[in-house]
Amino acid sequence: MKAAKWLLERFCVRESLVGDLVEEYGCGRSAWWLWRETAVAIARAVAPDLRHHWVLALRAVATGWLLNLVWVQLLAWVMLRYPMDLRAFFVVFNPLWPALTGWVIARTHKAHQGAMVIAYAVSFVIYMVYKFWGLFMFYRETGAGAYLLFVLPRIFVFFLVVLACTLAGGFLHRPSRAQSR
Amino acid sequence: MPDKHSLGDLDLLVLLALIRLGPEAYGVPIAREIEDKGKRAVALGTVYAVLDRLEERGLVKSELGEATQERGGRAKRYFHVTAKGLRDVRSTREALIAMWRGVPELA
Repeated sequence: MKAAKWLLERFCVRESLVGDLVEEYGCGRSAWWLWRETAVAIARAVAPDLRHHWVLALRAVATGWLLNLVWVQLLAWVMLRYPMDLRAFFVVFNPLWPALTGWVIARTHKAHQGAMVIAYAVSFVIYMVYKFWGLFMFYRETGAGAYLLFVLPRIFVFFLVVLACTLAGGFLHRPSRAQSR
Repeated sequence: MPDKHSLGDLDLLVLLALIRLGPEAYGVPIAREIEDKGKRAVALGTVYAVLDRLEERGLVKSELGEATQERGGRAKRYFHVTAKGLRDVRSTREALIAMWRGVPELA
């Protein structure tokens, strides 16, 4: 219940609806019921925000990708200047930059932070699918199918970590009561 | 020409649930009433989305109730149908009765 309540607060779901979910869960509803209702409540909170503020959503997506460009340039500069064990560096750097991206998007779109972070996350998922498809076609056409089994799972995990850290960074900031419905 | 007073099926179910429940109508009993009598499972988030839309159209009004321990200290929001809402419900009922009249017995 605590995890569901945390998520509902982050997406500014109205207090009376959260109260209803708490009440029903206390009356014996299942965990499956709770998570299904939480997903619907969040979708119902996010969709109108995205529909009415699509320009802000585009701005959030642009902000996220601009920051990605900055991080990539920073990473390239660091790698050239300071030779180091890249694995250790990636372990530290990889969760950090997407979390910062999510945090910046949330802070620069305070009134609708949940929806805007989701808008950027969706654009990232679309990018992931596009990249995966490109890699799959490349390996298939070069006949290097064996590498698919080696490379693709690693890239998939990398993208998942980036997505999870983006969402974590975006929802670190708790919206104020005034922003909750 | 579409009637601006016409209600969608979920709008109608929610309004009828409010009328049946009277002053104690808030999210939980509304959803349960629709599930029990309307034979339709509806998520609480969907009920609130419909209520928001009906409130924007002036068909329902809401007010905050008391917060309780069972709700984690969160207040209930009670809803009731306005006079305009009742008119639209009556108008939709008349339209449905007119459409059903003359329909052959369904198996």
